[in-house]
Formats: sequence, C-alpha cells, structure tokens
Amino acid sequence: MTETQARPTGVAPRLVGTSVPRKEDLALLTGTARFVDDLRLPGMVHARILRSEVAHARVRSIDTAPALEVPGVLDALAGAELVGKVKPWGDLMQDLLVGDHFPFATDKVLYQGQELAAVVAETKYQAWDGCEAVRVDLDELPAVVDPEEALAPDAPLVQEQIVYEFGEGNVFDRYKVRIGDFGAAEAGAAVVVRQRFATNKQAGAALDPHGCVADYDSFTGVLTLYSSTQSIYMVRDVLADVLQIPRTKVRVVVPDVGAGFGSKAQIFGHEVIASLFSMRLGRPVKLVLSRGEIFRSGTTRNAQVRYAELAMAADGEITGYRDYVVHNTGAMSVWGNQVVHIGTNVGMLPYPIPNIHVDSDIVHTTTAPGGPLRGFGIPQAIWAKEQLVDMAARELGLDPLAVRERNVIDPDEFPFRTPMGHVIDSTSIKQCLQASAEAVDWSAPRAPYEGKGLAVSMKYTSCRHPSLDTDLSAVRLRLETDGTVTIYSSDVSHGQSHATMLAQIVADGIGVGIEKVSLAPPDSMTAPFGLGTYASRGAAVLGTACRLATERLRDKILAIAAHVLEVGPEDLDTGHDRVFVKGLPDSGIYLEIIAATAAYRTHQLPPGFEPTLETVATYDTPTEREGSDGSGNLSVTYSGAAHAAHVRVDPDTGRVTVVDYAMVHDTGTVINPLVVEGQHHGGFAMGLGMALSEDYVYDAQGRQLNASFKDYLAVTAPDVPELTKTAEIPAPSTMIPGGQKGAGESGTGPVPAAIGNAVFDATGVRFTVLPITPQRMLVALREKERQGVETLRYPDDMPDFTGPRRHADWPSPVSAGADLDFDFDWEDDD
Amino acid sequence: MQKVCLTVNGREVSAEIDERTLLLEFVRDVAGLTGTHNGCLEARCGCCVIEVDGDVVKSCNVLAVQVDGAEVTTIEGLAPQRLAPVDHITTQSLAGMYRPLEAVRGTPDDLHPVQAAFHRCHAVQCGFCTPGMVMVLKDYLEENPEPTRDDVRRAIAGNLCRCTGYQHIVDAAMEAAAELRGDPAPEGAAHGATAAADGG
Amino acid sequence: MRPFTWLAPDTTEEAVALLREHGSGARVIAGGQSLLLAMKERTVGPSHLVSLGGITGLAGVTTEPDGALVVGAATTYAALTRAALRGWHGVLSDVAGDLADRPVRNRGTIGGALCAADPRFDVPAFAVGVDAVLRISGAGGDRTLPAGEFLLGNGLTAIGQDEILTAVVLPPPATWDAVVFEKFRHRVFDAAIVSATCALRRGSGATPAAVRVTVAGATATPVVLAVDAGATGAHAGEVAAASVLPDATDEPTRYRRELVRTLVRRTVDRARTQQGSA
Ligand SMILES: Cc1cc2nc3c(=O)[nH]c(=O)nc-3n(C[C@H](O)[C@H](O)[C@H](O)COP(=O)(O)OP(=O)(O)OC[C@H]3O[C@@H](n4cnc5c(N)ncnc54)[C@H](O)[C@@H]3O)c2cc1C
Ligand code: FES
Ligand code: FES
Repeated sequence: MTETQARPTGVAPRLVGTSVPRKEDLALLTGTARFVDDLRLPGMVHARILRSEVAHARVRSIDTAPALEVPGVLDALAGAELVGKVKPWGDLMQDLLVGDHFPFATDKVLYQGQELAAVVAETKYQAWDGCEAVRVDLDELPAVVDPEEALAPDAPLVQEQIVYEFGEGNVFDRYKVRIGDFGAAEAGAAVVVRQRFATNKQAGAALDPHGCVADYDSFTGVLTLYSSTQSIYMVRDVLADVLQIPRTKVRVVVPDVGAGFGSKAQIFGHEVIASLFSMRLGRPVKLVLSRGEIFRSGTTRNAQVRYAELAMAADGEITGYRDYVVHNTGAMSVWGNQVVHIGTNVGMLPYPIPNIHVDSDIVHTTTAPGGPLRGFGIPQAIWAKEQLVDMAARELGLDPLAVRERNVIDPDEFPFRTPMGHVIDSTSIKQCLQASAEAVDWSAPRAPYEGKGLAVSMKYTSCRHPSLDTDLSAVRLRLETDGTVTIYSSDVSHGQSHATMLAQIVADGIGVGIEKVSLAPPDSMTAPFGLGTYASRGAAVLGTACRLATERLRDKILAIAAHVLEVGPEDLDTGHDRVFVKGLPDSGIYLEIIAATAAYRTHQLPPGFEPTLETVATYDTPTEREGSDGSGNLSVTYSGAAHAAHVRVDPDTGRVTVVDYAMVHDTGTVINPLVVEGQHHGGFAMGLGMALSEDYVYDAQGRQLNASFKDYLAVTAPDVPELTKTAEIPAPSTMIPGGQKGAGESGTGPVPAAIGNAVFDATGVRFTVLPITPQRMLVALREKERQGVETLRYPDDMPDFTGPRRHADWPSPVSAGADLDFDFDWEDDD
Repeated sequence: MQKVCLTVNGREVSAEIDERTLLLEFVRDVAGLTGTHNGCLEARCGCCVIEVDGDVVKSCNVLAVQVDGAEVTTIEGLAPQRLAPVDHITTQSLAGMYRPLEAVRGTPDDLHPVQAAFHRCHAVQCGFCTPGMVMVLKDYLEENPEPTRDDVRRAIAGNLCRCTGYQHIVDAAMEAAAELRGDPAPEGAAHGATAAADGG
Repeated sequence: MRPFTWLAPDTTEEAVALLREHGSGARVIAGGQSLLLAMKERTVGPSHLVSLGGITGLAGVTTEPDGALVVGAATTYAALTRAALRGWHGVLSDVAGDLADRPVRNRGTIGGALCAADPRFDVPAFAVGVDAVLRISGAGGDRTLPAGEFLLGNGLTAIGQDEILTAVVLPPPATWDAVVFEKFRHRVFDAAIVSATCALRRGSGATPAAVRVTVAGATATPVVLAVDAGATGAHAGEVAAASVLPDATDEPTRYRRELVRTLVRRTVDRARTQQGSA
C-alpha cells in the first residue's frame, strides 16, 4: 500500500465500450448501501395507512378519534378534514388538470387498497393498533373489474367527481390514429387477419418497497422527503403544489432505490401523507408500504383488450393495421392514456405500415391504478401485432421469418421516415431478425409438442410524451480541487448503473481515472433539473447531457493548461489524470493542479477565465409533438429487438417450458456491454412473467386474490432458460452524439408474442389472452382433442367463452360513434 | 419484554426486546445492520436471508426470541470491514504526490468469493436482492461445491430478483464455486477478462 | 403482530401443562414458518406462545425394533434431508428436500406441517400416503392416530388445544416395497397444486398384493383411492380423475382433475416399475 508507483502517461484506453465493473457494487454487495427503509432519523416516528378492504363503496363516515386514544398514537388523518386544504393532483401529463388523486378517499372508495385513513405513532405496532381503532363505515357498491363491462351504459360509474375533457362515463380519454386509408388496404389485401387479444395486469414488484421518510423543519419551513422514487422533480413539483408551498421549501432526496421499472415514476399518496404528518408533528415520519399494500395500491401494467386486424398482400407485404383498444387504466389515470399513445405509436415498428387506423377508449375500472411498466404499452401492442403477422403468414402459406424479413425497416438511406412518423436514424433490425432465427435453428424440424416463434419490436430511447412537451435531462460536473470529479444529476439510478456509465463518459472525455469520478445522490437542492429515469432514456438522453457537460469541462481544462504551458488548446490531449502536449506524453500538468489553480490560484488563470471548473449541460431531444392524426417522431432514436423462442409443452400438465431463447438487439453504440446484457436479461424475465405467469386476479367484487409473493407468480430462477444467446448487432444512432440507444426496456417487448407464436407452433393453440398458464394450456389441449380440430383459439373457441367470437360481433369504439365535439381537431376519415 | 443475546458477526448484542421482534428487526434495528433487507415479510423474496448457527434462515420469519444465544452472520460479516486506514499516507503523498484512491478504499479483492464473483459478473443491478442472494449462495456452495447451473437455479428458487433475469447471478455462482474449490481460473473466463478495466 | 407472552418449556409435559394453563389463547410454535406468517398479518393473535424449540427429544429420527421409523415432530426438513434413511423411508428425505427452499427447510418442522394441515403441503399427503401413525401427548395421556384420521380439513386437525404432536411413525420398511411421491407446482418454490403418492406391496406374481394411492391438494384433506391392486397407471389415473371432484365443471377444477390423472398414472407406473410388476 505504501510503495510509490510512477503514474502512467499518455492517452488512457477508452472505457466507453468496455465492461467496466460497476462503481455501485461495493456498497450493495457488502450491505452498506442505504435504501429508504434503512434511514433512521433522530426522533423518527412511524406511520401506517388504513386501506379499504372493499373495491367500490360510498364512504359514510371515517372516524379517527378512537385511534388517538391508542397508546403511542400521535396523530391520525382521514380525507374529510383535508378537503379544501390539500390540492388534489393527478396525471402529470395533463399538467395537473385531472385532479383525481387525493391522500384519502373522501366520498367514495374506488379500488381495494385505497387510503382511508392514516395513523402515526411512536412504533410500527402502535400505528397498526391505531389503524385498527379507526371506525370506518362504508356502503359497498358493485365493482367493475372488466374494462369492456365498464363501457356499458349501465356500468357502475367509477369516477363521479371528475369532468373529463375528452371522456364521459367510465371513459377517461380517447385516442385515435389515422394514417393512410385502412379501408383501401383492406379491400386490396390478399388476406386480412382479425383477432381479439387481451393482456394482463402485471406488477412491477420492485423488491425495495415503496416508502419514504418525511422530515419537516418547523423553523425553516423546509420539508425534506427521502423517497424510493424514480424522479425527484416530478415528486417535488407535485408535492409542493399539493401542499401549496414553494418549490424551494421542498427538498426531495433519493437514497438507493431497489428498482422501479416504471412503478415508482410518479408521486404516491403515502408521500403526501408522511409529509402531512411530519408538518403537523415537526418530527421525521417514516412510512414504508408492506408488500400487500404495494400490490393493491401501486401501479400496474395497463391491461388491454385489442380488436386487431392486419392486412397483408399476397407477397407478404403488410399493408394495413387496424385496432380498437380498450385500455384499462384502473381506478385512476396516472400516466394511463400516455401508455396507449406511445405503446401504439412505437408499437407499429419495426414495420413501415402505410395504413393505420386505431381507436382507443381509455377506461376506468375499480382496480388498482394502471401505469407505466417496463415497455410502456409496447409489449401489449406487439403481443397483438406480432401474432397477427404469424396468422397472416400461415394463411398465405408463407414462412413467418420470410414475411418479417420482407417487412422490417431496411431502407437504402437513413434517416428514414415511416408513415407513422418515426424517424429511424439507423437500425440493424433485419440482421437481428435473421441472427435470432438462426440461433434457434429456425428451419429445423420440430419435435412433437415443441415449437418456435419469432417476434420483433423497436423501442423508443426517450420520449416526448404527447401531453408533456419535454424530453430533457441535465448533468452538472465539477472538477474538484484534488482532481476528482463529482457528477450531479436528478435522474435517479435504480439498477441502471448510472454511476458507472456516466463515469465512463467523463473518464474518456477528460482523461481522468474512473475511480476518481463519483455520482452525487439525487437531491433536488443540488441537482440540475431533469425529468427522471424512465423510458430507457438514461444512456442516450442523460448520457448525452453528460457528454456535453464533459466537453465543456474539457474545453475549460484545456484553456487553463494551454495558458500555463503556453501552447494552443488544439495541441493538447488528456489521459491518466493529466493534460499533455500531443506527442509528449511525459509532459503536462495533473488535473488536480489545474483544478486547484482554477479555485485557489485564480491569478494564474487565463485573462477573463471565469474561475472554478464546473459545467452544466441540459439536453432536450430533437423529437416531435404528436400530430393530430397520431403520427409523430416521439423518440430521438429507436433500439431494435428480435427474439426467437423455442418452447416445449407438457401435454399432461400444460406446463410451457422455454427451452431455448435468442435475443438479438440493436442498442447502438454500447457503453458497457455487460450492463446492457444485464438489462436485456432483466427485460426478458419481465416479459416472461407477462407471458406465462404474472397477473392480477380479482374476484367479482374487485378484491385482489393474489396480493402477495406467495400467490403472485413472479418469475424465479428455475423458470428462466439459459440466456446465452444474447447478442448485439449495433447500428449506432446518428442522432445521439455517442451513438447509443436505450437498453432498459427493449428486452421486454417481443417476449410474450415470441412465446405465443412458439406455443401455437408447438400445439396449434393460439392464445389470445395472457398469461399462458399451465391450466389454460391444458384445458385448451383437451378442448382441441374433444373438438377434433387442427387449431384452436384460447379462450375464443372454448365453450364457456362469453366474449365476441366472430368479427361481426365485435364492438365498435365508443369514441368512433361519439359526439364529434370531443374531436375538435381530428381529421376523421370514417 | 424479553432479554435476547445474539452474537452478530462476532459481536455480542444483547437487548431487552418486545417478544414480537423479528430476527430481521433485531439485526436491523438493535444490531444496527441494515444490509439485511425486508422485501416482503412473507418469507417469499429472500432479501432477508442470514445465517443462524451456520444455517441460512429467512430472518423475517423467525422471532429473535426463538434463536436467543445463537451466532448470527449477516452480509456485513462476509468481507472484512475497511476501517479507515491511514497507512496510505506516505512521504510522497505528504509531499504532494497524488495517491490513487484505491489505497484508502479497499478493493474487490477482500470480498468473499461469492461477492467478488457478483461484482465481476454484473450480478448486481439495483442490489436490493443481493445480500440475500449472496448469503444463500455462500451457504449452498459450502455444502455443494460442484453444482450444475440448474442446481444453482433451484438453490435460489426462494430468492426473487426483479432486475437481472438471474443469468448473471448463476454465472457468478458458478465462478464462485470454481474459486471456492480452488480450480484454476479458466483462460479468458466469461467475465474475468474485463477486470483489467476495473474502476472499482 | 399482537403482543404475546413467550414460554419456552424444557419438556413435553411442561409444554402440555402450559397449554392447559393458558387455555385457548395459547399456541404451540415449532419452526414458526406457518404460524408467524399468520401472526404478522394479525390473522391470528395468540396470547401465549409455547415453544417446542427447547424440548430435547422432540427432534430427531429413531427406529423401533420392528423397523418402524419414529420421526420427532420438531425434526426440521433440513435434518430429514440429511438423515440416511433406508428403503422407501428415504422418500421422506426426498420429499423434505424438495419443498420450499433451504432457509425455510432449516426452520420448518414435520410436525408443524401436519398441524398446519394445509391441503397443499407435502408431508401430510405423504403421511397419509404411506399410512403413517401420529403420536400425540396431552394432559389426559398419550394417544395415537393414523394420519388419515388426524387431518380433518383445511387447517383443521384432530389435535386438542392442550395436546402436542410428538412424533410421526412411518410403518416398517416391509410394509411397502415401493413408494413414489409426485407433485405439480407452478414454480419450484410453490406448494403443490396436486400431489399423488403410490405405496405398493409386492405380490407373489406379477400383480402387487396391495396398492395404496393417495391424492392431495385438490381436496381439503388427502383422499385415499380405491384402486385395484392390478391396475396399471393409466387405469388408476382414470379411476382417480373420475372420483376426485367429479362434478365441478369450472376450469380450475377441470385442470386439477387432469393433474390428478397425470400424477396418479405416473406414480403408479413408477411404483410398479420399481418393484418389478410393470
Ligand atoms: C415460504 C414458504 C414456502 C413453503 N413451501 C412449502 C411447500 O412447497 N410444501 C410444503 O409442504 N410446505 C411448504 N411450506 C410450509 C411448511 O411446510 C410449513 O410452514 C412448516 O413445515 C411448518 O412447520 P413449522 O415448524 O414452521 O410450524 P409452525 O409454524 O411453528 O406451526 C404451524 C402450526 O402447527 C402448530 N404446531 C406446530 N408443531 C406442533 C406440534 N408439535 N404439536 C401441536 N401443534 C403444533 C402450531 O401451533 C401452528 O398452528 C412453506 C412455508 C413457507 C414459509
Ligand atoms: S423479507 Fe424475508 S423473505 Fe422477503
Ligand atoms: S438486482 Fe434488483 S432485485 Fe436483484
């Protein structure tokens, strides 16, 4: 430890593109990392929320007075006393216009698990005792769990209080796409395949529970919220607004976050409740949710019913796509409508489909709020569309691989604009497709009850959300006076390896050793304003902001060095912590000298140089707003994913085993290959859960029957096949300076569809619902034997199926027949 | 109230506790070691796994009074602590010669082989499941030094990870098993090759 | 959890006396793997917990002179997995080693599993499957009950409030020539949806002298089926599917029926192969 080593000289090897082991790991591996439940503040007390056991009810009364009699209880709250004092909040996307959220149910309970009251006490047990003492009088109402039933005129009305701009009844919002002329495509097609598809309600189920510690300083009036969240500024701005206090008086600090996957990308009631208690008591209040609470009241992947149609020419060209999407956003609207917009827009890729006609009714049900979850609506769209591609190919006697090869975007020139409006700056999706098929030996004959399936998708890398006209991230860098570097960002890392990825960029940019670069914890008091970590935007958007800040820092460093060394900045290079004259690697000045000069010896700086070495950069993507026809380039670049599944079905138990799986991706220039591979593996596992096991199960009263890890079938290690066939065929982005594309979600999109297509190949059973459980598989196989048919759709061809079996019976969109007053600027072609 | 005395990572910790205190809570709140995590409290996620008298348990599903007197090992007990050394300060550094920070911070070398393999193989993403995973695998590999990949998958069947898809965790377990057996490191090991660029 | 008093007796007699003294609020705790789950959720709230952890002699495996295997009620799954058991008794080790996961197996006990009487647990199904006998101690003295009579329903057993299950006795090795246990579960870590046990005694010819087929998971308590000693797996499977839950037509039940058919077929075929009657 004490020997002196000569410090190396010259230009250091570039770190971007190498699997640098992560800087985050040591704390996480040794147990010293601090998650929100690990925080202990002096005087801290514990809160607990009393949640509704029933899904839908009128609130007669909620009396918290008895709770205050319970030993140890310090305070209790319920909705009535907050009305008029706390501002309702809602979908951030709607600029807070839709105020459907409130800390507690007031007049009505809308879903099981909604907050009724809360108690704060010296200990967790006492808080629970207090909750049990609260007297609740509810008048239960009929629930509505099924989104299609919610559309019926006589369905129970979920949200009674909110007047929606574009909706009515249980329809919260409507969405349309009108590209080209689907009717013409239909008339000219060799085949039009049509199928009703339904998708499941999947939980993020991040292992680190949602929770926070609120700490109000009654003297300064500053409310500090430590929270397990994906976005500090979205939480800060909404919280400040809800409590009607200045933004500067709310400080959001994020400790280590044990993942989110979209499920922590908003503010929650518990964050407001803990804040209120802390403001009332002047003591730090911890409120960490239990697993059951998270299942019942957290956000879930929006379940959809899609009436989807695909038109194909005789040669396999996809000429049109039509869809009517009933989109279940649960009892509240958090991000709900955005998921169908973006999932549909981006879900049309990787095909340049010329004629697209989509209608969607976004409906409320008395179920847990829907929201973003890894893939943001794209896995749902791909589930329908990629199965239709297989169905059409089979009807025409074409190979599903050949049909996809014919259709995927493979232009002569980039950038290429699709009819939907995506601007594709680069892609290798065709090569990915071919490589994935080859990896599972696509053309080999299948053994009995074994089958293979393909699916392709492209994923946005950032997103300009239709009702939020921004897509920015920011980074501030400081070269400290000992030559180390601090990175400030508000984009929370919760597994994405920001500390390593950004350090790789900084290290390469200014020649500093990566061990000297640190990422500051996200803190709204110090971090530059950014939107947060979601939408696979970390590497591309945050990474670009970091690259820009690094370039600015480099320019300043070189300016000082040039002045001291009396050469031009263009003659200088950096590496191994020093700036040197090109060709003279042993020369030069250490960064710590330059940094100290900039701060402590300002007299030696170049004339007019603004002292200290701190730079900031904000990068907003050159994306477009959504057009009135639904078109638009919402993402700066698109990553590609081609998946090939090989499954085996046990005809005696119905178990579907994925025996082999190939994922070939285009993530552009990869900053850290092992990290990107890990993202794809994790994305796959989430897709596998969506495909085979994970779903919210409700009874007719809207009570969730599987709100625990015992009954919610999260994917475990033995369920996952060996993922050795994970490969990259990089087509570097030309829009993003470093060439990188989003990695976080592209592994999820194609999984359910690839497995669904493989299951059909293996058994002749076409699943139109998710998940494909052993039970469903086995009863479908038995029904197929009973009917003596070659192919069967589950559940459409089952005797007890109550939905529409034939196209003629399909419902038409509520929105299509709706009063056109709502459609003030749509160009309606029907 | 009940008096409970445990030896946690070699340190004796005793306290008068509410009988209801879970072993998990004892470790986190009484012993002050928060590396053992609560991911479910339902004995289902594995984030809370620790060793009691050499056997792994889910500490969220054991009362502290049930194991009074036991020796407990948590994730914090696997690798030696890096207590702030000052011996990195040398004449050169006092004279202004810059010392790499590695010297003060400890390196991945002194981790337990399972921890070190997790680091090399990128088996950690958000890291919330990691302590439980490491504890289960350490215990399992001690008893089963030559597992197959499928064996490893079954050994962690009661430990959820929502981030990694388990692939890199299984990679890490296999590398750790080899190291614990004393096998020579294979040429160009799956992930070892990248260690050259280790920034810690 | 609700507050309770912790009691740690040294002997079974003391434990029984404590149960009697504290009445209906008192509960036995063995490993706590099932009980604590309920207590944390506050779905049960005993006033007193009587721990079996400190009672010597309640854990461990011994053999009777006739070869019967006496498994102490507080024996953990992990201990059973490590025990070197002979003949078909070894199947108990396999069963104990292939449920839950290592951390749970290190705490969970065979007696706890029987007293929890969850229809989806493995040990109760296996105990009925091989016709094990349970030993019970109470204030009124000791008694024994066949496992099939001990289990009365989902979470219900024949044990009295002030009684303790002390041991599970597997009949001597000669009782059966082959025992096969199979189960189906979604994930490795899940409890069985359906399990089947086939215990078989060799006959003089190709036909076994006795076959005992037990199905569990689909019903509140394990069901012992009337199966012809000579029945093939396929035939036994048909009999089983026809007799377990014959009337229900909902999808989950139809599915369970299919699993019953499959698992019974597999266990009977394997048992016949093992003892040479195939
Ligand atoms: C995560 C998890 C997964 C599991 N997976 C499986 C599985 O796959 N298959 C399976 O079969 N089981 C499974 N189990 C259940 C497991 O078998 C039982 O929890 C366990 O064996 C119960 O034993 P215990 O000693 O912990 O009982 P405890 O929880 O201590 O007691 C259970 C009940 O029995 C009573 N009791 C216990 N011992 C006695 C006694 N000797 N006399 C009288 N009453 C007594 C208690 O009062 C209590 O009511 C799982 C459990 C968990 C937590
Ligand atoms: S917290 Fe103990 S297993 Fe999840
Ligand atoms: S690394 Fe996040 S849960 Fe495993």
